[in-house]
Amino acid sequence: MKALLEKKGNVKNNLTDLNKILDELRTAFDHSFSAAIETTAEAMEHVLLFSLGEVCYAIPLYYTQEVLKVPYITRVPHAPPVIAGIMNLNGEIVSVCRISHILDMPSSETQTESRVLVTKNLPYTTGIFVDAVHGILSVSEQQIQPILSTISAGKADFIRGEFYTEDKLVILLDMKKLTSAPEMQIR
Amino acid sequence: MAVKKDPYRFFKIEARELLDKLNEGFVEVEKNPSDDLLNQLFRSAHTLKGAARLVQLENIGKIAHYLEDMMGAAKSGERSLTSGDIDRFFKGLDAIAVILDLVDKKEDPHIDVSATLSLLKGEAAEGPPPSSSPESPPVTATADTPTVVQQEATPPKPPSTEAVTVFEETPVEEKQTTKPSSAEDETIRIHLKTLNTILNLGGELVINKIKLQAKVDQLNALKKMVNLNAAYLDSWEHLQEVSEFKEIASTTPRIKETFSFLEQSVALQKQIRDELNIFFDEYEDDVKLTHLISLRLQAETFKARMLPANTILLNYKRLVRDVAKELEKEIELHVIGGEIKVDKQVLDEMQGPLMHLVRNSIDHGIEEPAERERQGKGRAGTLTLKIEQIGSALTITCEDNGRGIDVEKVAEVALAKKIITEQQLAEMSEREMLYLIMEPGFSTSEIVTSLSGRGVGLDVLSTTVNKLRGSITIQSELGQYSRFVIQLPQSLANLPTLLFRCGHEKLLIPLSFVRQTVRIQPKDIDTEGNREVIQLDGKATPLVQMNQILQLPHEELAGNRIPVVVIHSREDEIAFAVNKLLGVQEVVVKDLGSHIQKVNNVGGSTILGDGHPIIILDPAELVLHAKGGSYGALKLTEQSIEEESKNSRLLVVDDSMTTRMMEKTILESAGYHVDLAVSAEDALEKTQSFRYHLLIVDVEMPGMNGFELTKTLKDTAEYAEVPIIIVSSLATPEMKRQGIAAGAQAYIVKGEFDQKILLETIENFV
Repeated sequence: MKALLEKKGNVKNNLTDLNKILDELRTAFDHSFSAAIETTAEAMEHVLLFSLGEVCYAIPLYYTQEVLKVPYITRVPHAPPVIAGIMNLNGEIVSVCRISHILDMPSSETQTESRVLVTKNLPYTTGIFVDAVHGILSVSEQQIQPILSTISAGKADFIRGEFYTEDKLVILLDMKKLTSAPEMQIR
Repeated sequence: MAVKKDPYRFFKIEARELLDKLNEGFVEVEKNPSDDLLNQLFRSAHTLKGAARLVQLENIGKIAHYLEDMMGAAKSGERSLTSGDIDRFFKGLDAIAVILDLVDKKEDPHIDVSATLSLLKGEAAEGPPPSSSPESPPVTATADTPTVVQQEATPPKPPSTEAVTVFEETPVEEKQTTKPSSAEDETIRIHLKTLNTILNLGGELVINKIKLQAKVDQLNALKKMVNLNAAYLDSWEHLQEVSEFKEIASTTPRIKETFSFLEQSVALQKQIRDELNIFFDEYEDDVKLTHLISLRLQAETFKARMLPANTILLNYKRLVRDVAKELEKEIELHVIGGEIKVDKQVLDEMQGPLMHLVRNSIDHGIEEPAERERQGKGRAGTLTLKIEQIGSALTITCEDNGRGIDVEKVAEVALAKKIITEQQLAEMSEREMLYLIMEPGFSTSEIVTSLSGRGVGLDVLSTTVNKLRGSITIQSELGQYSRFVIQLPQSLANLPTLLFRCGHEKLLIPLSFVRQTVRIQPKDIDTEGNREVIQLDGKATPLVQMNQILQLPHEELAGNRIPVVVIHSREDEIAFAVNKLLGVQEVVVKDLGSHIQKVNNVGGSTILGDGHPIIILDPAELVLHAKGGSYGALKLTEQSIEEESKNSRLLVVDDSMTTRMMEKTILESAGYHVDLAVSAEDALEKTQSFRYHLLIVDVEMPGMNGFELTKTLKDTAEYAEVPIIIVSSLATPEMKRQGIAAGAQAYIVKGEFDQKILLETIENFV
């Protein structure tokens, strides 16, 4: 797992061939978790695990286009703090967001583990700044539970539920609600 | 009409398209006569009729008119279409196709179609052939025209054939006699999005080319290393010839073996060197060529987006005639420069607003003939539409010699409509007042003239021009003329900009808004009233630090020669001090991502040669914000009237004029009353005469500093409970601690200074 992440780090030009690496990650993950995850006949959902600060989050892989090492991000003067700036994604300008601002979580500085997740299948494409990406996991609908109010994981509006993997709590985000949050519509 | 070239060159493309649509539609309608389809056909026929009449092809117009009527009747249910009807419709379309062929061949297209028309109307006794009739040439039209032979080339085609293919079917000999080559005239419609994609790819190519260029340099360094190594090996070869080495080699087999390996290595190394040298030269040439090709690609794609201004101006003659007739006025229209090529998107965007401007001129500008005569002006008013190209900027001038704009009336209306306040009006010059007519909610006014009320106002023009990164200047003399000068970038895709550095950020500003760039010395800076100014061409121009306006981290401006960019918008000029000027760049404008519609002072973005995104500033907004007061606050007025209930009065204490004005603008826009103090001493005086609801205090000020001021105030009975917010560029925890110790309620660092944060903080306390 760790070796794979390092390998990812070595991929040139910041741009990671997500599919290839995700496939590898997926295989590795499926392998290591095959005992833990009950293989039932019901539909499994692939989610991408990442962390913001100390909290582990997941978003459906369906909404993820690629994972980038933090590219050059140009600040936009006067933009609200949720907009970290804009980046060049294959010749297109794509915004980079710090969703921690929307989730009411503290935001952290760029570190070597930091990544930008590029969204897809949403009304607009944006980059989501995260502190680390941990890989891909299959979860079943059964595993996903409503969140416990005692846990501080950010605003409940944007959370679909939570689940445990290896005794670790993962918060599953509702990407549609998150990207249509008023804070994300800059006018 | 102002067209010198082929007057039909746009018509024929459009007509062919409409003809295709009609042909297809009639085939479909026979099977399934849905309302939607009938509507479509009705519209197509209507458009064709209009277009044909515009180019004075009455024959096509008549046929299209008939088809339109029939479709109208069919869709209202007055008449159901039989297959015989549709056969006749096809005859009509075929006749139109024949006329279009004549147009293509540059022959006289004004053939008589009365026979076709009577056939269409079922007056002729001719029995309709079965099904669609592409195989039979349009009998009636053919009979009426002398060019029978040539027409035979087209009928074998099915009705929906594209114009392009028809050209190819025409015998070559004929083409040679009529025009040089058909290939030059071949056109294809392409979606603007596709073109923009190509443009983007062109931009990417340029960026990649720059990367390749960097590789050339790396390769060159490698080449030098290899050459150097070859030189070392050369000297080794000479050493080998030295007798001592020979001796050792001959006596020691191992050494001899080593030497022979080395010899091979040397030979190989020389080969590598030679091949590398050749490769390098070729590669360098290839990169140079790639550079040229990518530039060419970009230039050609830009050109592909360009169309002559006449594309939209052609309709104006008709429009002017109609409007003038309707209003019983006499107008002479002059169109100048219609052949100048303009970005298709600019044309599309400007068409509506420009039309409104023209209507406006006829409606409000030009007087009734009798009135004009009384003034000795001549019955007919003159309306001039002039397109000019100056450098890469496009200027559209719309001028009439009518009654001009009555500034006093404008001011009255603006006041009555609450577009401005009395106080704002008092600060305006007459020239500034002219621009009030472009404010939203102004021109739907019934006060200026009883003839208005057409819905959209001149604010649409203003909005569109802003969107296109252009500017409008209004000039007028009462009773003489009014003139609207619209300056636009000629191409939206390719915007010339000035690249500069402000703090650590590189930024761009559209070049058309840059009046000049100068370097100033600190001694050139004067103070006028409460702001800093510099003298430019004998005029005092307000000086503002760009990083303060943009709320960028502060960086000391470089020593004695401060670069200044003078930006103009409407009647204002503001000098912006920056850190470094970096030259002119032509860029492809992009947005900030589709969920970001508008950010203050930002007009767009682009990607520079190094692949990094960069912000393009919005000069009009910058100037407006830098101006602060007067009519710059126009957009905020509505809000502040609404939110007057907040009624809180704040005092901003800061020795920097820019910071004061900026905070004032932000706070006033949020509905607060704001007073300003230039120093702590000034603040103490002002707090004596009025008990403010909140104070915003800078730390570093000459004389008493912000902490001392806070402490002094907090020790008084009146201000012990009044919140004080410290805004400072000093960010150390120690400073924050000091601020809190002095009694301040909040400490905002200027670096992270954000108007939202400021307002939210204040809201917490007031």
